Amino acid sequence: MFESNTYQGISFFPQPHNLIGVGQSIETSFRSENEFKVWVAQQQRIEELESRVKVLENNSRAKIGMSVQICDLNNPKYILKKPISLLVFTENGEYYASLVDFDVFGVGENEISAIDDLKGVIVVYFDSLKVSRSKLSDKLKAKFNLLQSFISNET
Amino acid sequence: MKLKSLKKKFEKKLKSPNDSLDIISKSSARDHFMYSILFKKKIIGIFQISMGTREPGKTLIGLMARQLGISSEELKGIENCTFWGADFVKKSSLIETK
Repeated sequence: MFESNTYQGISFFPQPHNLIGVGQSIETSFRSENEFKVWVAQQQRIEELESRVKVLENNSRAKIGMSVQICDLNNPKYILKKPISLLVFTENGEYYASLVDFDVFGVGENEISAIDDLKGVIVVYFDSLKVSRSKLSDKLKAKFNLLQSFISNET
Repeated sequence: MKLKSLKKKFEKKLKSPNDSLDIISKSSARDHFMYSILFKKKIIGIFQISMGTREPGKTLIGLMARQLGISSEELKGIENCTFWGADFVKKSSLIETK
């Protein structure tokens, strides 16, 4: 049996500042070598999880890119028949939302404004294709047909 | 890459009647300039330049290049005057060769 902060005569500090708030105390008495080993393993696991959380926090701000679904185009004349998936990412301090299959994008100072911007671009893109339907290349015709399966124009 | 400069060069250099290539400016959406790209009187693509963007990064340049069916380097070539209408007709995947 041995007392807190000492293991086989070696003084050791369990880095309390990482674990508890200022002014709080931490119980670090180990009744056996095995208990100490478990504690060490737990600390290593916590460190590993903390580093993984940091990575996830960085990614969550759309740095790599996240998928978002929209259900409207912020325009009463256009109705979405089904949700559209967008890719949102950030680059050089600006946010972008992209409709990957159609290669259009919106820009904004945050995720929401980038998505709102893209909604406006989708409307212009859809109208441009609709107005010149007879002049579209086969590839663009296919894209327009695909877009029509998502968007219905009320006018 | 500077988008203002790309816009100017794109409007001037990619328009090439000899190659049956035409660029038509469409109505703008907020900070975006939208263009229809016509080849042999058929619309083959819609190109978008966002003036709201301060400094386009790799991903955005890639997206813009995809709109034109060319590589990022070729898009930069438009701004640097090393990629012209004739090159576009040869290289763009938007041009349907039957």
